[in-house]
Amino acid sequence: MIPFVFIAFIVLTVISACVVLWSNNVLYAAFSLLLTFFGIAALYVLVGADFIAITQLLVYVGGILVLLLFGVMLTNQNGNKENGKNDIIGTNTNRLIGFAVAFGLFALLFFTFAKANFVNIQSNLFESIETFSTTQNIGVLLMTDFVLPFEVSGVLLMATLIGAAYLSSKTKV
Amino acid sequence: MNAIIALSLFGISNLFLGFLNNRKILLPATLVFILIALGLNFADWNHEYYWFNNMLKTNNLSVNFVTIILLSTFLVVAISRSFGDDDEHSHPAEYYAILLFSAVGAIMMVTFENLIMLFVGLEILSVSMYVLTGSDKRSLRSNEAALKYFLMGSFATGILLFGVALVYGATSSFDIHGIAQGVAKAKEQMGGAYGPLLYSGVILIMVGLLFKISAAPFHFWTPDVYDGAPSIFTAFMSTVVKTAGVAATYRILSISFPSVYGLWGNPLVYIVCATLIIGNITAVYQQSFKRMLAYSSISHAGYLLITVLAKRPETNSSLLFYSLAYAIATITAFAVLMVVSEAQAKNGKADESFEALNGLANNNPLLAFSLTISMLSLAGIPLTAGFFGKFFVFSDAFSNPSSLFKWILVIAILMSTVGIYYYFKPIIAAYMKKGEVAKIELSPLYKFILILTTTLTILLGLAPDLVKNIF
Amino acid sequence: MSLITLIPLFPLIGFLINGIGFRHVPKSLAGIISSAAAFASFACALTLFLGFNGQPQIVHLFDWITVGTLNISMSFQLDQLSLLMLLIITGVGTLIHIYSIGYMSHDEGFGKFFAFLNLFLFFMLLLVMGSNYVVMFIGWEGVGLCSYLLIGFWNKNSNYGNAARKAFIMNRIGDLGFLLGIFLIINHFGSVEYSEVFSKIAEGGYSSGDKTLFYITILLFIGAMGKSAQIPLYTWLPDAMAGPTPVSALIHAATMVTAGIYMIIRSNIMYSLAPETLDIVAWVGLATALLAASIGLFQNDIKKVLAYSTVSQLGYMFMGLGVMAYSSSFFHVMTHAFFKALLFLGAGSVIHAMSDEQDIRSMGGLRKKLPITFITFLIATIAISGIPPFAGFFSKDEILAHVFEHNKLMWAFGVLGSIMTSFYMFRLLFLTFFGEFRGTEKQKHHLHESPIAMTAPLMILAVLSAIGGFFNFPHIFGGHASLAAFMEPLFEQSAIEHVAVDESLEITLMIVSVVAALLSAGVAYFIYVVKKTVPVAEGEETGLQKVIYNKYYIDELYDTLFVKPITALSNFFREVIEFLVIDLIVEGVGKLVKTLSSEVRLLQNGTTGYYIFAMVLSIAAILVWSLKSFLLG
Repeated sequence: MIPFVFIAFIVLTVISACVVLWSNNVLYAAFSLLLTFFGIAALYVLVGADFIAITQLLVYVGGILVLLLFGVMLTNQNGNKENGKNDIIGTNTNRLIGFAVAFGLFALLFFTFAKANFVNIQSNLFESIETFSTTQNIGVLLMTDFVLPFEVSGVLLMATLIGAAYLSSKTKV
Repeated sequence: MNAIIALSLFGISNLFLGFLNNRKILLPATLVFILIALGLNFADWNHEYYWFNNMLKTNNLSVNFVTIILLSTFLVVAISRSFGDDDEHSHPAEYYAILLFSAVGAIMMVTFENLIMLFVGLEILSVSMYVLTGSDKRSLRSNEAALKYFLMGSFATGILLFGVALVYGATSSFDIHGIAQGVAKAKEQMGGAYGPLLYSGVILIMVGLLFKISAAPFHFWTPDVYDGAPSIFTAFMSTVVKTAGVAATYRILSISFPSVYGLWGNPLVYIVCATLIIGNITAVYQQSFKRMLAYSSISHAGYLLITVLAKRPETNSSLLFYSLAYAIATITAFAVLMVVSEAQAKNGKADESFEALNGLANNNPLLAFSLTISMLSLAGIPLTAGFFGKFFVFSDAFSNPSSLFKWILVIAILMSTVGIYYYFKPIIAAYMKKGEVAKIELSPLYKFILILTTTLTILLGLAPDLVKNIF
Repeated sequence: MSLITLIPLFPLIGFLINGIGFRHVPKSLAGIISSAAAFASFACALTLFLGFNGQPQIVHLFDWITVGTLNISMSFQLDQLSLLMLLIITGVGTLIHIYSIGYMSHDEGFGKFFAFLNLFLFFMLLLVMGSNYVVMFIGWEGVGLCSYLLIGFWNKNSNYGNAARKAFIMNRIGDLGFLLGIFLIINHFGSVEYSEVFSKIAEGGYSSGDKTLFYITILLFIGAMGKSAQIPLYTWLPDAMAGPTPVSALIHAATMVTAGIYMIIRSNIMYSLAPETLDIVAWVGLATALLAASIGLFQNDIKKVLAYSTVSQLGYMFMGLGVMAYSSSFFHVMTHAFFKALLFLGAGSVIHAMSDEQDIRSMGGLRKKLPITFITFLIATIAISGIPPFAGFFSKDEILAHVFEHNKLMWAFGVLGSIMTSFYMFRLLFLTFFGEFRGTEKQKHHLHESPIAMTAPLMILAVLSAIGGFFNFPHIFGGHASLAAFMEPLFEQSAIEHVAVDESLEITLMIVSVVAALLSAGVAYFIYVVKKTVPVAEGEETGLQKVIYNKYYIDELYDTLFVKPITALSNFFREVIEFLVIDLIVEGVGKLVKTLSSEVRLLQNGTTGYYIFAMVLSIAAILVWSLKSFLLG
């Protein structure tokens, strides 16, 4: 059962990612991105990373994507003059070369994974593992071993916040 | 470590200081903050210490790097002239706060013991730089540069993260010493060979970091971004960011992956050569002083990377010396460029080309002299700090038995000859070309900084052992 | 503080006073301060020379750099070689400083000029006084920098700036060799101190033709080629004449350009063990001597003639070094410093009188108006042509005698060179000082003898050019060859085979070259004084105006016999060799860099997508390359 679900989500993720790439309409691309993120979240669940999966949904689907859609809507207030619809048409250039290079890189990395010897490899990928919540572990680790990165992320967020506030503040031109 | 905490707090205090209606206080306050951080930094001298579960490690090497970073930050802040006291468009409090935060990021990049810290440090530095690059909101070029930098920078960050993940997969560790052990263990398990996972991981980490120090062929963003950003932040980028980037690259490559030297060393050889050639050759054609400095910073990344490659006990001190010499000279050059282009802008000739410097020496001997010394130092003429920087780097390369290094050396020396050509352009413009630059009034602090950096450059050129012994 | 440290200190102080106080130090004082600084150094050097006991002295100032086990110290070495160089540099330097007070008196940048001169002197002193190769290198680069500043001193003309840059870059190409040579020395001997390196060689049992020594010496020689203007790096020197004339006299004739010779004499122990390098040195020197002399034959710019003559004389010195006649070469360095400085200063006096006219076709008959300049110039001309008993005769013949021992063919070429030297120098003399005045009325009206500040150095140098040869008066004339004897300890450790030159043979050789020189002076006299020939205007030697040109030498038998083939040769060398070979190779590299730069620049097209594409492509390439062992098998 699990392998089929797994494959189904992979197909979902890949197809929607392809739509993101090939679609000319930015709005469609954004919505496909939603599916991609969703698919990836599902894959996280399947490998037992429940916390990451939830975070993925919350942050990407809930936050970033909504932001993206707002961005699309706000930038195109006048609508498309050609067909009167409210959409943005992007242009793709260098499809072929870009595809070739991307595919080449993908092939390389795929090869890397195929040949990889993970140190702590889990040999029985599709056998049911003991299910437990990782959230607590992560929480404890963040406040003990990884307290410094956790705290310092505050500096990162602070810098980002100041920057965002500054850049979006009104300037007289 | 204490410097990190202090600087983070100071950054926030700076924001509060911004609420005061007195902008004049910001500059001295920030300078004092940096000096305090510098003092705290020295507290770690001669104490080798791991902080917070092996997240950071301070030792003399890291203290030295932090000193260079803080010194550069200090100089950049000192020549910022409060970002124009009377300019209502500027937000000095925010700028200073972000500069302090990015110094935090830079310090983390030279003290990290865990790749997570490297990543967070790099991100702090990068995000700050994206913002500062676009800080001149009225300038289209500045906006464009910021967007470009952001797009490409996030791409590079992705590459770095991917590399970290792959290395984790191969060694099951984020700790840089743990990775070194993991590499050895992986070799054992594989029967004397390394898997492709490690290979790809190391390469991707290296590429991610090389992007930050603008080594070719990952340098494309540099000229556009350096050119578009306000000069003061370009000065910061080309010194602090570069020093931190090179230090981080050196740290991870020399601690985690010395046993796979051939793996990252071989591509790095070509990257170094490409960087030297592209940086120097392209700089020849530039008409803009600022853009020339951008290419010059690419070429200096090449020289710095030679030390990373050379892998000798002396490498630490060569790297430190070169970074210091380079940072001081670059900041001096930018200091001169800033006041001159500003003065020219008042005359309606807003440009940063070499022509803006024409006849500078006639009315502004101090500016012209500082400029000359900094250019000589960047070009590596003896009796300036830059000469010994190059000398140490080259002798590192020369002592390496591999014949490949002889070729790097030949290219490096040839390219430093090419460098003479373009570094002399501003000197010629300042002293020999006809032109008129009205006398530029400099604040006492500005004068002091110019004299200080110039003296330091000459002093280090006369007696490099002064600091070489410390490093 | 010992006298030794004072020597370079004086010019440095002079530089600081004039450099920092530029525009504030009054004009009258600036020149005096500088000259006094130079003179004080000279006095110190003279005191040291008189009290010298034959033992090399090393004064250690401070430890400079410590890299691992390598320790480079800032220290000075005082021995026979550096003492002699010191005397020449400070002595001639002082005279030129004094001369400049007169020559530059109308110039705006008076103080700046003297600051640069002092700075140059400082670096030159470092170069010859340093006790290791790194200090020498510092001085080496420093004089290059000062030379650059002084060539471009009159920067109103952008050509001058270009000439300055050309000189600097060509020198840097040489420096590349020098620097690599130093690295090789560090690598091989673990030290850069002369004393240590040389004693290691002496004790190390190196056989003649040792590979390492060959590489070291050839790299050092490349450095010398740049600084001492040898083929193919000589073209900067004629261009360097853009600078003020005292600069040409001091830097591009008497002192800096001899740095290469100094370096080789200093490293003689290594060179003596590298016969292949010596051969290269000798042949490069000979080729340079001939090429430059032939180009000098028909130049019409008074300073250009002297410039090519300098290159040619430097060629002689290298030829001497190549046959291990170190002390003879040094002797020539010394006499050359006297008479070439004199020639340049005399030329400067003429240019001064002619209101900055440098073309000898517009001169003529100046001997009545400028009597002192004329007489001193005459002495220098005789000296450089190798006519006894003036200085050049002794030094040049010593070199030629050694060359004869080494290789007869080389000697024949050497004599040919000295015939050309004599011809172009007398041609210059006759065209300038004899015949009728050919300039404008205004210039004629303006003609005057130079002030005493300028003529006094001329007279002193004239005396030295006249008697300089007696410093090393050869045995065959009953002398003691005192200079050679004085320098003997320098060559103790090197393996020079001393071939006693047969006295009668030596006298024969001398007679041959003197007669040849006199003959060619006579030819010059015939052409330019008796026939009153004036070189035609530039560009008219070939092409449509050839008719005029041909008329010019169908009439004269001598012309057809000498001028035409030599002109052709001269033009050939100047146009074909210099333009095709030298410009193509040496300057072509520069142009290539520029063209490449304009092409590479286009990669930077500003499109983010393209940048990222290039990055991804590079990453993919690096990955494929790193993973190739997995991919292939």
